[in-house]
This record gives sequence, C-alpha cells and structure tokens, in this order.
Amino acid sequence: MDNIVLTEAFYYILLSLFEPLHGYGIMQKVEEMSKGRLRLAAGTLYGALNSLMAKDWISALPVEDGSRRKVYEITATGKALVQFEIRRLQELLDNGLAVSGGNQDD
Amino acid sequence: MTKTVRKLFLAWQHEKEEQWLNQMSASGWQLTHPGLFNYRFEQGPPNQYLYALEYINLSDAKMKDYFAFLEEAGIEIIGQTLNWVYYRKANDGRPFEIFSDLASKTEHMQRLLKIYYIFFVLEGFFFIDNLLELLSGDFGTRHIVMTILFGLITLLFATAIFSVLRQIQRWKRGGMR
Repeated sequence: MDNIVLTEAFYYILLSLFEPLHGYGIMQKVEEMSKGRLRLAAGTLYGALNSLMAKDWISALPVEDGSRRKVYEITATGKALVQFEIRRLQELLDNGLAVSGGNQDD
Repeated sequence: MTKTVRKLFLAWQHEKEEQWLNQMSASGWQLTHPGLFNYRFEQGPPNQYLYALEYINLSDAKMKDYFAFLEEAGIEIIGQTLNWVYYRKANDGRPFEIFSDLASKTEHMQRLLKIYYIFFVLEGFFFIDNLLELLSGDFGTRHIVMTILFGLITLLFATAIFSVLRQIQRWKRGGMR
C-alpha cells in the first residue's frame, strides 16, 4: 500500500461506501461531503467504480429482486487503504500547519 | 412542430456538436433523432433538455449495464450513430457532462485514438505502397489515383489524431484534474 495515492474522487467514493449505496447515491454523497466542490459525472463514476472493483477495494452487492439498481460497498482492503490514506493526509496537514502556522493572510 | 437540420460534425468535434445541440435547445428545439447528417428536432420549451455524446465500444451486455447506471442519474439515450451515443437530461440548471475529470475524459478520447491509430497505419501503408510504385517508375493512372486517395485519407486520420491530442493538451493546460 506504500505508494498508492488516491485521487480525490476515489477517496470520496471509498468514504461514501462505508455504508452500502447505489450509484446516484454516491454522486450525491460525494457532492455533499465536498460541499459542492466535487461533482462526479455519471460516466466518470461508472469507470471509477469498475476500477475500484477490479482492485477489490469495493464490491457490488447482489441485487434485490425487482430493483435493477446495483449497490456497492467498501471491502476490508478498501477500508485499510482509506486508513493508510488518512494517515498520509494527516502528515501533510500537520507539516503544513506547523510550517505556515495555518496563517492565511500574507 | 418538427424540423430537420443537416449538419456534419467530424468525430473529434463532439464537444462542438454538444454545444450546438444545447444552443438549439436554448432556442426551443429539442433533438429527437440524431443522424449522420440529418438531425431531427421538435419544438419545445427553451432549455428543456441538455445533451451529451459518448463514443462507446462495449459489448451489448456491458452497454446495457452502463445505460442502466446512467438512467439512475436521469440520463436518457435518444439515439446512436456509428458507435456514438446521444444522451439527454432534463435541465436542472447545471451543466450536463458525462465525464467530469481529466482521467475519464482522456480515457474517452483514447477509445477514439485507438481506432484512428489503426486506420492511420493501415492507410499510411497503402499510401506508401502506391507511392513506391510511382517512384519506381510505374506512372499508371491507378497508382497515381491510389497514391492521392490514400494520401488524403492518411492525412485525414493524422488530422484526427492531432486534433484529439491537442484537445487533451488544452484540457491539461486549462488546469483540469
């Protein structure tokens, strides 16, 4: 897991899948979490979900009868990756605040 | 009321085509049938729908799965021509796009580039083959015509490749991530 750096989109998709969610739900959750900054288009999300499934970071749950909507959920591997990423981001954040003092005027 | 408009967009001008369809929508004309040259429109409320295009090269099963996914997001398929799928979405005041980041937009263009590269090499081969016949002294009409024809086709694909690569560069330079 050492050299894996997640894009913002992948990171937020993984986060939103700590609870099972369907495609459109993921789009909404990511937009909500990023306060409107990250808006995933449907084609982009579909490709990302396939990538994440291929890496076994998320899985598609069996569909309930009647509902054609696939539901996705993060895997144990995915969760471990998120933890790793959070530690990496925390390190960046800590150093940034320590050096710049978090001072935004200049 | 309906009308048909004849227009030609080359494959790598798909963004221009989307802009045009959205402009038509703004003037109150909604696309009902896309075609190679003939686009059929129906009069309706201005800006009712927004439109997008995607070049798709998937198996039928994978395409069905993809379209079902898009439907969840309110995206409808209104037609297909030569592997290009036309989508529309009810206008909610936000821009309509199928791809929102550089990686997926580039991947979309790679689908086109793959085809273009193959044809470029193939046509280039025929061009050079006929050119060599000319250069070796065989000035038959056939070789002259074929050299010109394959030369032009090779140039067309070179232009296509160049245009797509330039588009990708523009996105990168524009700061897209």
